[in-house]
Amino acid sequence: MTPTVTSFEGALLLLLVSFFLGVLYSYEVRKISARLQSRRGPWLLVPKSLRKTLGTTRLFQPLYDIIKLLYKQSIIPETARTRLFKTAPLIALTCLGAAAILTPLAGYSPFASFELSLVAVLYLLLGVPLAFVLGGAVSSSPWGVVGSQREAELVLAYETPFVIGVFTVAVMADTLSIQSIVAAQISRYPYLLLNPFSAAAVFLAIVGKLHLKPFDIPEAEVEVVAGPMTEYSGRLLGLIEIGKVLFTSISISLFIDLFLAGGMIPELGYPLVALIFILEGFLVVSLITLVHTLNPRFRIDQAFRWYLKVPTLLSALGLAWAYSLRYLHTAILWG
Amino acid sequence: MVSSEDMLAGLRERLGPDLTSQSKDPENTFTINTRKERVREVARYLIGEVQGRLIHVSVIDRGLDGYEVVYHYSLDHLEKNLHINVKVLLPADEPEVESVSLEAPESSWSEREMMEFTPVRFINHPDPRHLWLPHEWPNPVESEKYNPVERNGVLPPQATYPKNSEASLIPLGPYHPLLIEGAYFRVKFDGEEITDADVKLGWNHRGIMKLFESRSYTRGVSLAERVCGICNVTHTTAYLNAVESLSGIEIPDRARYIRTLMAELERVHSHLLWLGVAGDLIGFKTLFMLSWKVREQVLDVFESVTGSRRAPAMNLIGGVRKDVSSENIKKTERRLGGMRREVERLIDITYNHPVVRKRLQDIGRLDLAAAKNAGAVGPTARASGWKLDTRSSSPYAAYEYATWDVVTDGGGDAWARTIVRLKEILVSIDISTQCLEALNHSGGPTSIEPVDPKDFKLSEALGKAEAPRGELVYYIVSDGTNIPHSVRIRTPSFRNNALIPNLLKGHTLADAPIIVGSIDPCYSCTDRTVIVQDSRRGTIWKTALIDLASVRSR
Repeated sequence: MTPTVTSFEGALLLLLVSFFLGVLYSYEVRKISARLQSRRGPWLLVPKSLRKTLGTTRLFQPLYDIIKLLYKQSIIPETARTRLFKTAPLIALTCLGAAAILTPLAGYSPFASFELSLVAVLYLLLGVPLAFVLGGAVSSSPWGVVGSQREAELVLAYETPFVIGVFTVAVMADTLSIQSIVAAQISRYPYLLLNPFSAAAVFLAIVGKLHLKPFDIPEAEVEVVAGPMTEYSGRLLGLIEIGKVLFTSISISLFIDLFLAGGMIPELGYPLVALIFILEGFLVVSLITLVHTLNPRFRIDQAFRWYLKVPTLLSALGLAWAYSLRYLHTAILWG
Repeated sequence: MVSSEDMLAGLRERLGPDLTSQSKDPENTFTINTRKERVREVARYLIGEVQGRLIHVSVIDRGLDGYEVVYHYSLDHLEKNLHINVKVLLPADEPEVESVSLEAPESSWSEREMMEFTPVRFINHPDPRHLWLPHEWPNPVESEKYNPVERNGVLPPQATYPKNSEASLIPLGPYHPLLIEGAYFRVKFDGEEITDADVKLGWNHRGIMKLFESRSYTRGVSLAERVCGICNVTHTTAYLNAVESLSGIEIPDRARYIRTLMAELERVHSHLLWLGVAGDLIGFKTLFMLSWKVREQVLDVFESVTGSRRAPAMNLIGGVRKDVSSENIKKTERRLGGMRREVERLIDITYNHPVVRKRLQDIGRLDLAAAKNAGAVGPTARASGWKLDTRSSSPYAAYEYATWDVVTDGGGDAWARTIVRLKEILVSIDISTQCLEALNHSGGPTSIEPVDPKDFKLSEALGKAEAPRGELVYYIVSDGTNIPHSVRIRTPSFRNNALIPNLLKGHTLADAPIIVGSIDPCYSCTDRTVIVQDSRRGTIWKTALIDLASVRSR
């Protein structure tokens, strides 16, 4: 990146790129799951006969869906607590915006030197489900309330392996800055190779974070209509959808930064590094989509138990592994 | 208890002089008349001692003579096709009879339905609420009220608001993504656990049984086809079984095979559709997509054989409308082979998926005693280990000629019901192949001339068929004109839906969709009053609609 960019412009750029990546990732989720279900999904290349009406590509279909929602009227239930109901999506978006700026994309972040960026991002990402819980709880819909309750339970389930997994990385890199974690991986190996347990735990936690199957319990259509989002419509729903796209993008970027060295092979130069970053993103998203497509939904108690049984155990194993690696390292170093 | 003779002797001994008359028709259906004081005793004997099933309670309006209540008992576990109709004539000025719901809980809904349609009162009925009409009728519906109002111990349908959240009442329906059709489950929660549940029907009542009474027998066939979109072949088959025994005709063998083929393909279609919906209910979209892809092939077969994808209109009085050409037989055989392989793949996916198993096992358990007590039918009964299949116990069409086994499973939970249906798809494909084979090696006519209604051999007949959801019963009373005097339909879902509230208790909200789904409920055949809501005027009743229509057409 050229040094002429101020940190404000850089932050804006990061936000936009994050959103754009999120749109691409959402497209990928839709396309891959469609192909696995013998459907077509949104066209990547529209056939010639349909181009007049559909355009050349429907790659940005998730974006068009959001734009459509933004044009529509929001209906707010009479019995809802209007102010909180309207604020909840904004809280989620603010958290996500701040998290997007603090998460380096392909090694670039204007706030690179911010020492506690990892902690900040973790808290900001936790703000999103909490905002959804708030929105559902004040929506005055029974489905919203039940959905919020489920959401809160699910947060408890996936947050443990997520936090342990992420801090294991911090322990290995000996820093709490995401930028320095990336740098630490460049000089050694990506942490995916050094500590696959934590990587797996964090990956599984992200599936839950993004409400993909088998953990789409708060939004399970046949059970609770749309959960916390039941009463949201029009512009407010559009904001939530923007939030979801950003959430996807930031979670994936964070995973790449923490375990795949942020796509960084500095010898290659900038455009190539960005490309590697995006490719890694697509790879992670396709894995997530695979999990999403090939599973039915857990019940909340089953999900809770499963999270305790598998990812939490994996993350604990990862932490132990990280400490033993350190010990071995020191032992080898000091004879 | 071994034979129909013993059973009749037993009845005669118990009833003595109260057994006023007795007759038997060629279809092995006995009819006895008795006095109204003895109906509970008859029920105790036929259900408690003979182990029979009360399949339906019909009320026939006999004009000045009064109302005739007919209890249809099925004893086809003793002898094939053995049924007994117990009739009681009630005077028109005081049409009251004791309810048999205590002896036969399965008759509860039948009696409620008949109380809705006729002035007959079943006294001491344990649950005499409206079945089709809103509970509040004739008072205005109170669904818009915020506070729950207890009315005869019955809560009106309503939403729950956090403002009065001490009543954690969740409305599953009438319009909810759980069911595409209109049904309302009032579910009460204690935390996550369902403590009480109730079902309200009548969101799509179309008055089909009344319509039958204004249409000739021939036009009745297409009306029967429209009772249900999924099991239309079975509906016409059951209707025709009744009409053909009324007229005393035997349809040609070729027509039998074609009817069987259609009915079995319909079962394959229905079960595949169900598998997809069940997949969706536990959040398995991929299974939904894949099984509906296979279902599409069944529809293709229907289209090439009958010209129509879902309402084949093949059955006529006296046979079938159209022959299956040898070319179509070969094509269908090939397609069935391909379908079998794909169904086996679907079974493999469903059977071996750990999460599917986790979601279905031990959910909505119905043990054999409870199934018998509530009168479950079809795959729901068979998954509780009850070998109950009309196709084998009261054979019709060509089921006697084919070799096949009734699929049962002892589990009794949603998983067992899934397994039973999956195995039944394979069995149905087998039967279809056998039918095609037979059609390939035989010829002959596909239909015979129907009989003029004034020459009917019988004045009433029971027609049964095994729908994909279970035993379907038609009871037709003829008065010698070309229009049936009465038609009564007991659909399989009418029985199975009554089970749902009991199955829901003790489970969580997350399990509610799959429990409801595992019964394979069909509301178009259970239900038949449409309430039109206008934001300015409130509820519009039928008379107002007619007025509105006349204003428009003036």
